[in-house]
Amino acid sequence: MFELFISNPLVLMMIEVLVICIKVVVVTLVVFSLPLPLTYIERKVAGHIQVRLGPYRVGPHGILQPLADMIKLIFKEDIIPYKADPWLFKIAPIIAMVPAFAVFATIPFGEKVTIPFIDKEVTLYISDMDTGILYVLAIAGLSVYGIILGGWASNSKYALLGGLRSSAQMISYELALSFACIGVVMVVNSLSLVDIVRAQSGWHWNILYQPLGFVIFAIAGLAEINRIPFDLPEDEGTLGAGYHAEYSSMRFAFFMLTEYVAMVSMSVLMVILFFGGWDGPGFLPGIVWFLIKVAFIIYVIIWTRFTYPRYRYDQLMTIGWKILLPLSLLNILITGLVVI
Amino acid sequence: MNQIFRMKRSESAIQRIREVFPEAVHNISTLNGDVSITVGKDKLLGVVKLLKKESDISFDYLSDLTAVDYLRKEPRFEVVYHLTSTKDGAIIRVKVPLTLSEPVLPSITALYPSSDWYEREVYDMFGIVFNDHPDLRRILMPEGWRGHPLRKDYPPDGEEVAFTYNKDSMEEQPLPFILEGKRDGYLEFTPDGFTLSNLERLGLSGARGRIILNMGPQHPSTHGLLRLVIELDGERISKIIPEIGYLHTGIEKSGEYLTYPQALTLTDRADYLANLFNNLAYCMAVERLLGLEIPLRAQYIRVLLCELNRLASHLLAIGVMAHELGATSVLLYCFREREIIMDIFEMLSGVRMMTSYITIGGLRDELPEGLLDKIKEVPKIFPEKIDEYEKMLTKNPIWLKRTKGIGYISGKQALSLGASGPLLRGSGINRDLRKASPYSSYDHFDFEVPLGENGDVFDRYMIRIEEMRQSLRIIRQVIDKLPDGPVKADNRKVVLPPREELGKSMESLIHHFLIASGGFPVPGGETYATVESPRGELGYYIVSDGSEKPYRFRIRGPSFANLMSIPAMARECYIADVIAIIGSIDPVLGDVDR
Repeated sequence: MFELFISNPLVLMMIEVLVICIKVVVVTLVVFSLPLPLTYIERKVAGHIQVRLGPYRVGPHGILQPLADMIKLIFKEDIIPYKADPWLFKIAPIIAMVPAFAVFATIPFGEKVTIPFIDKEVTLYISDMDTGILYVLAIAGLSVYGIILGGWASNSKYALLGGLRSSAQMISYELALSFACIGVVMVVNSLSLVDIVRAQSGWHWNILYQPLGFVIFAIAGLAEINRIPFDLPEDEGTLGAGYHAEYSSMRFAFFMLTEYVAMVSMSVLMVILFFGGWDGPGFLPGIVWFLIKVAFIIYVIIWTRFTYPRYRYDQLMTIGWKILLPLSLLNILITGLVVI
Repeated sequence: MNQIFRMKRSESAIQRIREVFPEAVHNISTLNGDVSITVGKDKLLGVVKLLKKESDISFDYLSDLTAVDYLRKEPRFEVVYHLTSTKDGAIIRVKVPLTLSEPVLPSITALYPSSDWYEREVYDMFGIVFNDHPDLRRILMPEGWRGHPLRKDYPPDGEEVAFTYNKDSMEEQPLPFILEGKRDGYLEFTPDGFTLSNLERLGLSGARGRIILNMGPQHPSTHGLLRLVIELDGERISKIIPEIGYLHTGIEKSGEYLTYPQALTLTDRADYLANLFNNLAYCMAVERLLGLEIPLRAQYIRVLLCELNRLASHLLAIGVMAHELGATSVLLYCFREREIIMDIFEMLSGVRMMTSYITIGGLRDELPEGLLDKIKEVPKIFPEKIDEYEKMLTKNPIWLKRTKGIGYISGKQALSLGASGPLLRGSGINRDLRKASPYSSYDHFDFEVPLGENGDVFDRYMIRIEEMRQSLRIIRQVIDKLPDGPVKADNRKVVLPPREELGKSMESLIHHFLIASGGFPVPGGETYATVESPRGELGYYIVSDGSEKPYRFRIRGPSFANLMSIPAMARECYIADVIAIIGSIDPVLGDVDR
């Protein structure tokens, strides 16, 4: 009876839809709640790098600090500056946040797993697009509109400068970032993220075949997610807080959320493109390897932040246009020659 | 020996002035080792020009420019110039008497560009007008303020500020601080002197495509309440105007109403990061007026404490500068080491910053037991830590990119703009008052004065690093050579008697009571004492009228003069460089605004 029921094509389709829905909800929830542990980890790591303890008061070892922060942010007064453009001001954090989440639609976390009882194979990704990497790059690039609009709508000179810096920075580094990806695509011969990971299985990680591409990707990626040494749009030293100087309460939290999610998606992308995704020795499931690699890259990003000073705006531009871009083209050329 | 030589130099300068301007000099005195002349206001420019330009005299540095209000005397005002020679540290004081009816002087900005802000300050505080000054506005008080606070008939307190509830009643009544019979209205306060109508006067074009950015007074990287009005062309700076006065607390005015021992505690609060240097300069000035001889042990301990203070101050300077350029961790590392010094100060006096430990006549007390052992640890711990900062910064390519070639200023220009300390030495000019005019036995110790070559932010940073090493060297020597003996001068009229005598001797009790309650009279006269603070030449100009309170309590803060170089250094640079430049000047706004 039961077997008959689940072999019914209508039911099958409904299960399919249900599975996708569940996956979307799970991924969204996980990504949404990721910044909570991440802020805690970042502050803890920063604390220990800087011979401090980091958060310590709320809960054991300050573990509940992010929750307290969240509650604080929710209950803070939401201030819209006098003479700001209220409509753009309100919508900007959302424009920044949505693409950061949308990126995860195509990111694979692992191969298929079989769900017991119904004996159904479920893929650990929402969708495997043929143009996965293009989708990721295109969507991730949209986030910058939120930053520009936020900076513009605030009607504050510091925010405006932050927004302007951001737009210039994104455009210059997105090119290098995309070209670095092209190297990988040429090696793997596919735009699908799942195929890219599969092609690397058995220790054929792309970092071995694309070392230059990896370096370019790492640098441009740091710039893309506004982390030190490239965090010019928010440059506390000069611009106060940059593009989100005038934001408070949850709108500010949205920008912060975006940044952390962007950090995660950049690390995930790096693992997929260069570190073989879920590929690893068999004694641990693939998804665990995947998470370990992502966590390590996030750690390195945090570590960098508390080690280096930041570049100046024009130096950043010089690096982007005069060094990274030619290098990435060179990388494509070399890859092309080798592949042929 | 050196002192006598320098006095001779100043005296020969006066000889020369007498030859050229037989009528100019009214009065010469060489009291307390200072050479001072009084000239008529019509001869001022000629005399100053001679002092600066004549090659064998060459007083090329304007140390200080201020005024004194002798209320009941005629002529009422005296404008005081302190000119220094960077060659050998000779110093000369030029005084110009002025009457209330015509308080006008020619400006010397053409000869000494650094007199710009000083003349503005004198105008602000005394109402003396300087002809041909490029931009004679108020500098510390807000625009629209009535009266001149440092005049003797201006009350030290009691000004009422107009709020909505008392606005009407204030309009009716004359206010105590409105002078010269003006009673038309309450305090007119325009917080923004940079309204569109006066942009042009300040040289801000306000042209299309330019942004006028108000950096500060509330800004994370302006080291306090410094305000920079910047005209931006994209990210490039086309014009920059520093505005100060947001931390003006009237220390100079307050000092005139306190006894000499009480005023000591004010000095801590001027440059709060180099409080012991302020104590020292003030005490040196008063001691010179009193003719006190300080025991060697006290002098050595003064050196020891000052060098510890210099370490603490430089640590903060480097840490904060790194923090503002994005290297947050270095700040915390610097604080870790600074904490050791703060602990020492706390053990010494019970407070971390406002120690007031150096007092008139020596030190507040003998060093507490065990402190010297703690200080001995400092030269052992620090060298390794300084190497650590260097590893984080000096060897960091991004740091080099952010600092090398940024904020260039030539030695000549820095000198003419009144710069001192690491800012001046970063441009290769060897002027360290510890060497140029040694005080408190600094000549007993070996140390070097690190010099820069390129006059950029990096050189000034490196000088601070090197100066920390030299400070450690001095600390080691002081500990080795520290003699036994008293730490207070033997003058019971001035120095508090030891605690154990109070129970035995009636006379001691009386002295204690008199000093603690009413202070002590200081012989009339004036003197200018300078020390090399972490930020440069820190001078105290004290005028005494023979009473228990200073008649004029003038602080020449190094940061005040150093800030004048910002426009020269920030020319054609990026907005992010301004942060590096401010960090490399390391201003303390308490020292600027006082």
